[in-house]
Amino acid sequence: MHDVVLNAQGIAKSYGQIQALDGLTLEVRAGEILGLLGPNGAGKTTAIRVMTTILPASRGHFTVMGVPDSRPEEIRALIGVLPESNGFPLAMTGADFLIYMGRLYGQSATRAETKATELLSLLGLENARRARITTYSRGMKQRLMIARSLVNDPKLLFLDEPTLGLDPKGQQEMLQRIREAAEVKRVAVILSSHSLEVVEAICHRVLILNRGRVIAQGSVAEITRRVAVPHACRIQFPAEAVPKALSVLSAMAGVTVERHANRLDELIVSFQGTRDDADMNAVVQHLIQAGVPIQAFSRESVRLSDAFLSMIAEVQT
Amino acid sequence: MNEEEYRQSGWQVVLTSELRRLWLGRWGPLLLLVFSIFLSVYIVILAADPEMNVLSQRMIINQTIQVTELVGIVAVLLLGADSFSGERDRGSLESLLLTPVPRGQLVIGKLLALLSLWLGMIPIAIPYIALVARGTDVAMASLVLLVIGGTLLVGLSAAVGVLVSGLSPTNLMSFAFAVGVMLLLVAPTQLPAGVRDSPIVDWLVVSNPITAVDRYQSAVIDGGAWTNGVWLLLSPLIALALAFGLGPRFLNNRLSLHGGFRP
Repeated sequence: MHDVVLNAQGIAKSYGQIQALDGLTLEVRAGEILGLLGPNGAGKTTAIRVMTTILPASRGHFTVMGVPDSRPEEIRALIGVLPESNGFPLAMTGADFLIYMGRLYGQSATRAETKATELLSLLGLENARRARITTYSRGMKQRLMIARSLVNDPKLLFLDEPTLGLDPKGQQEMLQRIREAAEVKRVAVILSSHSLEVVEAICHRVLILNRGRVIAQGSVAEITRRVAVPHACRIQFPAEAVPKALSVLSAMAGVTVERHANRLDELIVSFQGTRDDADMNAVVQHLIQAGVPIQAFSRESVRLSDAFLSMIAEVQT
Repeated sequence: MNEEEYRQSGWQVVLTSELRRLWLGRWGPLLLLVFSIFLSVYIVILAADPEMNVLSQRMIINQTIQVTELVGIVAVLLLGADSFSGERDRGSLESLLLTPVPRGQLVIGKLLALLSLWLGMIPIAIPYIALVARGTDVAMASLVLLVIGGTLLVGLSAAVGVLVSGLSPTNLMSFAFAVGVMLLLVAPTQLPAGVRDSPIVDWLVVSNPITAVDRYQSAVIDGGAWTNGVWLLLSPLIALALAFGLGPRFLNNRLSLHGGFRP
């Protein structure tokens, strides 16, 4: 039964008249990665701060591994957090910082030191372990803060923009680490990010917040299915065949054709009010019958970013 | 008990880290150096300035003790005022608040580390007090008074600094408020003698920890018995007990990421 790591019911947080979070209800299971999405000011950071016991909720309650939010110290012992504000005691070295944090989680000096060495190595900071944090680059500080979030072997991990400040290789490695933590160690992860590609790449489920309210929740596939984004395909032609293709396609009913912004030999064909694959077949048939050579054909899938933007726009109008 | 079984309480871990930061960092040694230079200059001026010679030796002893205590109060107050609001400004407080250590223990750890600065100042001040008190019958009494009175006031000052810092949203506000509180407490020591004779002012003097300690020290150094006016130490004792007893408990529920009275 206690596959459920986090269970939150109707969490609300207000600052005076401002309702930062309103009725957040969610459940996260062991090994699951939940993406938290939303525009700036949607309430993502507030949600994380409430569920990490940094801020008290104005309403609602939650449990972590069955521990109620009325016992915040016990909850903090179970969770790891990559917070939004990642300041450090700059005079400390990376190793000293992690050892200090480990000790604050009740680890013995030996255990804290072993853990610090292990994490610094895991995050690629072993060569900087004796350097002061003040000498670290932004990416290194981000890695160190991620190491800090793992210092207590958490059951639930909150990551606020985990790839911020990392180079592309570092981002890939980071996502791989998060995946491993979820799959191998069965850590439940809540990941907040503005990068929809990151969320789409590793999250099992997504929760979209806007102005403190949940506007959608489900798997990436479920979310994208809900959105009425035009059904479309891309077709590539030899450059000289493009005008003929344009005239053939323009004559078809229910079809909108536009040129690709950067590629002169490519057309984007959208189908209004239908999601039937037969339409695509009909387009190809028409082109072949008219003697237009086709070099490449690809179906446009609805991406999470399309769904996200569409939902936010819908709510705002 | 082997090492793996050994666990420190959260406040001990914070205390150890803060002591390391204070004494292996630049602030502790620097403050002690400045303090010793300041005391040297002060004593030289007292000894060399003919105008100062109109002061009796006992008055000079009393002034030296007061100045030493004042330096301790101010140094600890300012470091205390930086304790939490400084971390807030630097963005490192959230990391600390995310640990399972109760907030009250974070406060105790930082508070005790601040007192170590006073423990470092006492040995520096002892030779100077001994120098100005040489040849009098209150040399030993002066040293004891410095330790007792100074510890009471510096402890209180540390608690005020940490408390204000825990509640202030910014470091600037913390410094301004802490200095304001301390000026209010120190101001009555500068009241002219005539004003002090009023019963209301007298009551204010004995209930203000700083002026109460000042009056007790003056009485003992002027030749009074230890027991004469020892009740004057009640207000600093009560204030210190309240600050150390209730301060961490108060902040345990109120120390927050953004400051303010509400959790």
